[in-house]
Amino acid sequence: MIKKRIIKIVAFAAIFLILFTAVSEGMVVSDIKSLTNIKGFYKEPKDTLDVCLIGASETYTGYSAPLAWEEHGYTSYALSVAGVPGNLYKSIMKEAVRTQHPKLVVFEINGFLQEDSYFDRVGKMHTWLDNIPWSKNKMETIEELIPEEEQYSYYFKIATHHDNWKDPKSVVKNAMTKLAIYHNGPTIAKGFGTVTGKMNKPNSGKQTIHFTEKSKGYLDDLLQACKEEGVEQVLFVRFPHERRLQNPEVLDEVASYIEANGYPFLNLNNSFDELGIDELHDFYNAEHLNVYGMEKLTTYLGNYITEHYDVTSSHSDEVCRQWADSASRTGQLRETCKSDIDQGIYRSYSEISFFFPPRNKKEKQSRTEYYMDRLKQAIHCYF
Amino acid sequence: MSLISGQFLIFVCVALLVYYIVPKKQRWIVLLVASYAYYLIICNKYIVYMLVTTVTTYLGARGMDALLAHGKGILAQHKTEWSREDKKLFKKKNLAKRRAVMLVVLLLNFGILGFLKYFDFAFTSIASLFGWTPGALEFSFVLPLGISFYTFQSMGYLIDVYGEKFPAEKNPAKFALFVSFFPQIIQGPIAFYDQLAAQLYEGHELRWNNIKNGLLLILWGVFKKVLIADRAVKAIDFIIANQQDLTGTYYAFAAILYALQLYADFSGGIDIVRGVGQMFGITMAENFKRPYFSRSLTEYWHRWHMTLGNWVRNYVFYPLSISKQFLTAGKWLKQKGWKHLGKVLPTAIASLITFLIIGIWHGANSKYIAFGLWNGLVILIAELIRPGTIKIGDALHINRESWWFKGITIVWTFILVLVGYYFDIAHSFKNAMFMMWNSIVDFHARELVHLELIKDCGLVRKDYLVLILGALIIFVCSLIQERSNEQMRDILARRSIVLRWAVIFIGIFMILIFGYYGPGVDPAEFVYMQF
Repeated sequence: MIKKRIIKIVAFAAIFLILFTAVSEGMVVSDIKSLTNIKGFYKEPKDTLDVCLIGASETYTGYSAPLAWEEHGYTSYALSVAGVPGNLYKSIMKEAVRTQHPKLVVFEINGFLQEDSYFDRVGKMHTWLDNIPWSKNKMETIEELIPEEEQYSYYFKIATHHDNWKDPKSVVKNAMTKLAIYHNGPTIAKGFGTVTGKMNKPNSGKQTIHFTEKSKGYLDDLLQACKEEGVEQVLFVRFPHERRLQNPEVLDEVASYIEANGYPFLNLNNSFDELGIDELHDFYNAEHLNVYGMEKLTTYLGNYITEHYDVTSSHSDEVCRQWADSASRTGQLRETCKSDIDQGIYRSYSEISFFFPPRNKKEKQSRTEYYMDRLKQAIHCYF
Repeated sequence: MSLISGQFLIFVCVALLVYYIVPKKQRWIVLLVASYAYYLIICNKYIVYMLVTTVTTYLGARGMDALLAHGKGILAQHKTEWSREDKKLFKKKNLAKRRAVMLVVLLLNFGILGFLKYFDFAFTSIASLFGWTPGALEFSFVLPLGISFYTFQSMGYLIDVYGEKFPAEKNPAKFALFVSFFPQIIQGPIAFYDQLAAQLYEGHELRWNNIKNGLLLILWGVFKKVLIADRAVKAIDFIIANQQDLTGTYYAFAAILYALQLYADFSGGIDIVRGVGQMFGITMAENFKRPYFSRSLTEYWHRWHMTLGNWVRNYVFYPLSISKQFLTAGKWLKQKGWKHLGKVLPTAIASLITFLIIGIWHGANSKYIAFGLWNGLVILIAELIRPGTIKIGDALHINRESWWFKGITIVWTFILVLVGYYFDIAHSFKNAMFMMWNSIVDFHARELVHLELIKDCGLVRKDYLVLILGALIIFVCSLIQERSNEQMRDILARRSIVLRWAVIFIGIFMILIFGYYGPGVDPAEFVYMQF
């Protein structure tokens, strides 16, 4: 009798745990580009990346690792989260170093140029922490950055994400994205994501950037962590932005601060001539390069990296074959993007576009059509 | 440490573990330590009030017992020498002494409760009579959590000891456990000593059925609270706070939502409490019996907050209605030829007074007095006109057991209850009347389709669907219980394991997915925690 009861309790607990894990994971909704970027990073074979770029959405839209491989022969990954605040860079860097041993880590510094409230972006914390696997680093990040009364929601993800039942489209989209990445090998686009469409006129507004004491504190933390983790080669970069700065001198202050700590800083914020960037043609919005601009920046940055750092290493045939395939397929994707841009078609591209072709956002689709479409794609992708 | 929190879950798990590990005879000590630890955590230094109640009630009851024993001893000594009259006189004096002890303890404890709860209201009201606004002085006292519940429970015990229903508890620690038992200390149910004490002191065996049934009760309680009550309260609060910008439709909507929210909140909380008790092997009194199926307001009060109803019935209503003055008044009316009035009026007046007390217990505000009076008056009038309504019914050949008549009486009773709820949700008596009036003259049914004016309350259309679904589930379960007169868990226990587990998993995941909780969501306290 007791044995039977114990079996029942264990079976009940096991079913509960399976369902709970599936529901908890299934309800997590993040922006697709950050999601594919983060999940995709962990699909890279261990110790196969030569360079790792860390930053916000500028990073995954402005840099293509497969293109850099094609042009310069080093492997890389732009591990980035859209709108990531500077206080998460350390955690991202630690994840990069934990799973890979890149010879060079490049930080795009957008996350340090914001007001202090930017560091409390709960959504971004969740995008990062809810999509990385459990590790000492993850727990330390939660302890360090999350107010005590909210920490439970990072251990118990469903507490934050359960309300997503009101947005079933996003839940389905996220779940299918995760499954597609989970079911396949190393990613093709290596974190790259972009948006097509055209910018009709230059942005007239000016942006004010900040380099507050809090930013400096988090930057110090990051530099200290790089030393502790044995990351010897670090490069700080400001990627090009179409929007002009109200106070460009802040970037000089940032440069001095970083250089005083013994690291180089490459300010490409408005280096349009140097990069050959056409303001109206090479951005898809004020903050992000489109695929044309991305090609120019990747080439420039690749040249800079190979000229200043020794990042190349020998990789196995399997890795080389996989990267060659990746370069070829992302090359095709880039061509599709360019064609969209030229025709003024608005589409969002990321790793998931290789499985589920993106839809023109200006075309309306009924709810039934949407789900039928997804279902067909899922069958195609998984079976 | 809310009843629905990780801390409370851990607290209960640890208490259960220790309870079932220690020898049976010492298990009540575990409950006592857990109860005091719990109260210390949630109330800190205000535990002193509970200690005062415990000590004074214990001493008072022991004192009355001693007086009784002493009296009996003396009577036995003088059994032969004293005349019948002497004995009667002695008994009367002894009773008077015991009554004096009881009154002192009652006055002290109800005095503390009254002072903490009503001083502000009384002082401000009196001061305003003299044209003085004492706002700057800010007389306000912290009301310890659960003070009403443990005071009522202790005073019930004291009155019963006075009435020689049972002897006083000799062990002060055991009595302290009766007063402080942790699951019920915050919002009841208010227990009677003869129903609860023995269960507390007895060391219960670990039984799987107790654990299982307890967990099911807790699950049901959490379902009601997290899925329905915490969601509904957002719309209600928004409507009350922004009523100047809204129409009567929304006031009516708030009152109906409140009926759902209050039931889900209070009965949900009680289910959790009873579930925790059940896991310790302790069966606590039921507090709700499908109240919205009542066919009269009197029946409603027999089904709603039953333990408070029983308390006031036993210690206020019955003593009043059989008091000398009330019986004399009844007799006098009958002699005057008003037979029905003579029979009904004394109990109806006692009932009115009882409801007035219930109203005052709900809070220090004129609206609560109106709430009590409304319930008391409706019941009084219903009793007075009963012969007339019976005659009309008979003349119209109405079958009182027909489904449609039952339906009409249930709906009618619900409307009467709803009127009472307006006093609860409004700011004041005047405001309640304003909302009620506008619910009638400014009601536009089409507004309920979009609820456009309350779209900023934090709820979206899908939240209302969850509320409707939750209400439907409660309704169906209540209907099954009402018809079968069985608990849902007993009905479920007879089904196959697949169905049982499916129901449980659906319940758990409905809470996890559709529940109103999480970071940034401010969960509402249990309504009756503030009493």
